[in-house]
Amino acid sequence: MAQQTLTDPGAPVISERIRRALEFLLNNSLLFATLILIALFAVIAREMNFLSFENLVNILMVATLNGLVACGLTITMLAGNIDFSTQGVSAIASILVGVIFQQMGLPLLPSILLVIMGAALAGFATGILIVNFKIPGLVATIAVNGSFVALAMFLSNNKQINVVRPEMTSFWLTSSLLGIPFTVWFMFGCFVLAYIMLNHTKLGAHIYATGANLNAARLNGVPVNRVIRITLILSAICIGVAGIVSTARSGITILFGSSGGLATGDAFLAVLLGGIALFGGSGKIEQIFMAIIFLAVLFNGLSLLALPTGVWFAIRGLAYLLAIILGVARGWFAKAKA
Amino acid sequence: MATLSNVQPADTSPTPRRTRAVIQFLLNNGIILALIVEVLIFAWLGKEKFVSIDVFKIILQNASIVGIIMPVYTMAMISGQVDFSTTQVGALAGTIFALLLTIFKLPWWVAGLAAIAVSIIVGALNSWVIIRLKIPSIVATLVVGALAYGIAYLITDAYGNASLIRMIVPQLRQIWSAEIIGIPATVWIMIGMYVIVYIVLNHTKLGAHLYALGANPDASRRTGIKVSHLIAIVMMVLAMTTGIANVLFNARGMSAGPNISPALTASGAGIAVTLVGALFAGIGLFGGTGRVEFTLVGLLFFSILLVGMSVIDFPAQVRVAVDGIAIVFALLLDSLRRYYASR
Repeated sequence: MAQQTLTDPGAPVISERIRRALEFLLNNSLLFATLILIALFAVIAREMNFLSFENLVNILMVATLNGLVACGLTITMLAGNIDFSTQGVSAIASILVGVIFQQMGLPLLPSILLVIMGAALAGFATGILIVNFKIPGLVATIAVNGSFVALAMFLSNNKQINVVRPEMTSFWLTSSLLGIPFTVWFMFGCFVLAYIMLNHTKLGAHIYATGANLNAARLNGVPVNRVIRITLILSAICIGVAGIVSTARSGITILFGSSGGLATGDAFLAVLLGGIALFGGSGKIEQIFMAIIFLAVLFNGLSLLALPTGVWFAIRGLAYLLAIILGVARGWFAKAKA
Repeated sequence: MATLSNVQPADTSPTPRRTRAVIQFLLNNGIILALIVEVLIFAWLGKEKFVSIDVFKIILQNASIVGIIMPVYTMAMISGQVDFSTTQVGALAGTIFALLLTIFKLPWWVAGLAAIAVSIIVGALNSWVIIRLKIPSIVATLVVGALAYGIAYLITDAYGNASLIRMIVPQLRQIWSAEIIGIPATVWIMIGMYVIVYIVLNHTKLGAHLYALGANPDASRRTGIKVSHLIAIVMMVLAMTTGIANVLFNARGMSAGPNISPALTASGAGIAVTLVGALFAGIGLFGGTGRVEFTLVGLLFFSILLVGMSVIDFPAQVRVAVDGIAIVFALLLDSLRRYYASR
């Protein structure tokens, strides 16, 4: 990768106070952007009940799927890999729900555990390619994605399976605490666990070290291979749960032919917005959480206003552009500080 | 990982030199061998259904659209740039072409030139983000691609139907069915692109600079190579060829829209069809190495796979599975080759 490291024409000179204020704004830009967006939609989409409790819960539900995927993606990216196998892993999880839970009729918890184990196995397979065969993560995950989709197609004999047993839906969606479905709490829990793991455990420190400089980490005694394997398995588990939830919600497995499954796109956008470095080593997971909420509010508002798809996609493109400009601004300030 | 750890280092037990040479030859030309084996298997399975001039023509024609982009894409990868926006840029160019041709009733060459101009602008935007904002090409092209996709959607929303613009212009089909010495015109364009890129990469200063840039951007900058110019040229030429190829593709289907772009594998467009082909041919993801002629073999491999499996009528899941296995297999081969090269 040709990383651009042109020398800068001198760090910019600005007064201390303005710099601090700007830095505060930049560091919390997603929070402010979300608040502004909510205020904006509360006025524009007043008739569509944007601020109603149902709609806010709806926003959180949309945030759940992307949030789970983004949580896993963040962990792999911090360790220096990118996981683009979302479609394949979520397809496997979804089909496994159909086969194990619906067709074989296993009880709820064992079948969820088995599906998660299946997803973890997929992550383990990706890990073998990356660690043992030394294939870059980006390429390896794109390559296995197709194989996972094929595997899911074989498992279901290329048919969609109706998941009609009610326990799955009632477990993830109907049961609620404070009026918020269990799934949303589960997503919150994932982020909290990931936060604790990344910031307060040895594994977290190892993940950051591996992503920042693989060779330096290895020479300092970090078991880099194990770290990379673990991050890929964790990511696959997160994607797997997202696949289960989305199957429970739609009541049917989510693979149609060779298309379908969950997309990496929005989660990747959130990770970029949240400022995870593309090649690992820096970034904060709480920012990713904010980015997920921001995107969910944005897309919910747009869909309430019933804008045409074109505008929707154009705004998504602009959000991407905003994400990288924010990233550039962060880098610029970091340089000005140094 | 049995295969790698069983091979002992050269200094402890010297493998006979000849054996090593044979292994290295096999690994270096693995893709050509794979192609031969593939043709034999399909010929055996399909008999006269597969072995015919018509199927041969379909294979070439099928490969030709992605094949127009592939050599230039390889050039970009050799210089260290990965482009994730080919699908979207092509879709935008095709949509612009269809818009001008059928809605504004402009002559075909004006529409064509406008489509090419738009794709060059998108390529320029790509290189601007890469060079000025210093964003790695993967992210830069993802972002610009998302914008291009949005614009294509805006156009088809306003002027089209179900995110499509139809082009009921029978003459367009002639581009596709035209043949020179019995070989379709688009195949000749593909061959021409390969010849040009081969000459540029192997026999010009520009080519040498591209290899140097991919191998080590910092070093090439210090030796006085104009890195930003090179990146701009490569990204703009790539976007331009993508636009041309997609317009040709749209001419065949007589429709254009954000979701209409050529596919190379059975599992569809995916993130970047061309990326898969280039990787299959052993072009490294980080640039500096690779030979463009190998990507032609990789391209034919996938085209034969796609056409062969549909001629013999494999079930859908088998097609996707064979594709997936082929790609993973190619990566393992590449990994083995690098392992041998490093010894």
